[in-house]
Amino acid sequence: MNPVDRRNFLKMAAKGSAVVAAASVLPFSGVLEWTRQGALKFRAVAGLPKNPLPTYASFVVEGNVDLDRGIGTVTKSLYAGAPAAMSTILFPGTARTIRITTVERSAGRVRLAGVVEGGEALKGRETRNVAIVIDTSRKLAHADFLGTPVVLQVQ
Amino acid sequence: MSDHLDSPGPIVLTKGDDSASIGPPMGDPKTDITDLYAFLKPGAEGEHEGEDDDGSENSILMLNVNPLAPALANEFESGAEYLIKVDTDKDAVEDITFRVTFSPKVGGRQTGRVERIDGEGRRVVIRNAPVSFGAEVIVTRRGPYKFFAGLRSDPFFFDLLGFIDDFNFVNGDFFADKNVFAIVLEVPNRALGRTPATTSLWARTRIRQNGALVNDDRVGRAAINTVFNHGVDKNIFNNLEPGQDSTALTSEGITFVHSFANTLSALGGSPALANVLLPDVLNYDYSKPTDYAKLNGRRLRDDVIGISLSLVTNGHLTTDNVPPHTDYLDHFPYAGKPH
Repeated sequence: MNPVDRRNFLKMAAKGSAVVAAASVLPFSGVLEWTRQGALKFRAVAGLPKNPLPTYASFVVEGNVDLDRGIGTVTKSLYAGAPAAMSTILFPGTARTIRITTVERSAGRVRLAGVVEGGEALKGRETRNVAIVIDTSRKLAHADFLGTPVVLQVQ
Repeated sequence: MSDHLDSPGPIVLTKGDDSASIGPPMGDPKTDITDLYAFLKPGAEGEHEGEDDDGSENSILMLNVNPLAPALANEFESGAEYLIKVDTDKDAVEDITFRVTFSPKVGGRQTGRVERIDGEGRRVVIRNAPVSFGAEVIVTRRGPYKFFAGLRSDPFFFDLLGFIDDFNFVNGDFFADKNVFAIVLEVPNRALGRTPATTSLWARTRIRQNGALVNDDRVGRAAINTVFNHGVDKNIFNNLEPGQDSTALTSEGITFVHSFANTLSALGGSPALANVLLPDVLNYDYSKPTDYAKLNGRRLRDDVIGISLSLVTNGHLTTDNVPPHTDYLDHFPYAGKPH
């Protein structure tokens, strides 16, 4: 998967999501939030697969991290339905809980590194050691879905 | 994902300060169609395919709903209609309908009823047929008809996660351990009309809203709505009848044929194929062997994804690397024991 293509796709997806977010009556919770000094709570979403195929599912990455202590938890989940019409139906076998072990902060970016918890069988090109980058200035998150890089819109 | 987890969802339309939801609030898995199959009854040794013990020829019609069953729902919807529609003269309008309805589930029991409806009227062909909620197969017979309804292994095979991950087909069969609620009918071919060369089928579910029955989901060939329609167009398409497919407009104001052609072009396929894929019906000439690759019916083991990938990408992609399941039965109801 060419990450540039993915980025372009997600730009389009993000535009679509923004329109829906403005128009939708659905509540949007879990915004990027500095819950207290040194703590970060976030929720980021991307629609998959990419154009020209219709968005079929929503990849959701959520986290709650203590930046000072370098610990926290991030979950990755895949729900049926596009972000504009996301259901509560979780695709079996796709949820991952990541124990954050390292936090690196730089201007406008937070890089979280961690390990997939539990004994879940990994799929595709997944690895147990993962990294998630939050671009707080652009409200984007970079994570991988089954080993493929994905850019998500932080809500 | 033939049509799995793709039921009409909470699409919100907004105009000015007004908004309205389309479809059931979160989609109802009980009426979310996953697949439609139609194939000649497999013949016992020495018989011709499709030929019954008494020499008559029969077909198997299978309408599956409720992806991931029983996790999302463990019954059929008692207020709904599960329909298999048959067009005998190639106008994409039904001439015969098999209508399946269910009683409310009470005390763990539910029963099904099948009616055959044509221009001459309505006839009950199966009544008070118990639904199977476990591994036991409960078959109800009446005359030349057989009926099964209940939990079975999902016959569909596909690397769904690979599809979501931009065709990176390295994840194996997502459906290997999944179940559906299956409705399986064995019918005499004569009940499908007398013109096999021009016969086609599609499945439709209708649900009750505010006291009235409204269209919910529909499926002809595998994965059409999933692969070709975006966002609100999925619901628009589900609401259409096949006879409208060629002229109806998407939310962007172009015809579905035009929209399909655009997607086919973007995938490297032939845009002309849009006129083959629409109307979305499953051609079924029961005078010939069933084979999805020849656009004639669909058997459980037919690799509809491999065939479809090859068609829509003009041969650039030919497989998702997933073989058919090994749990199919060689006898009624053909779908394997639930997991």
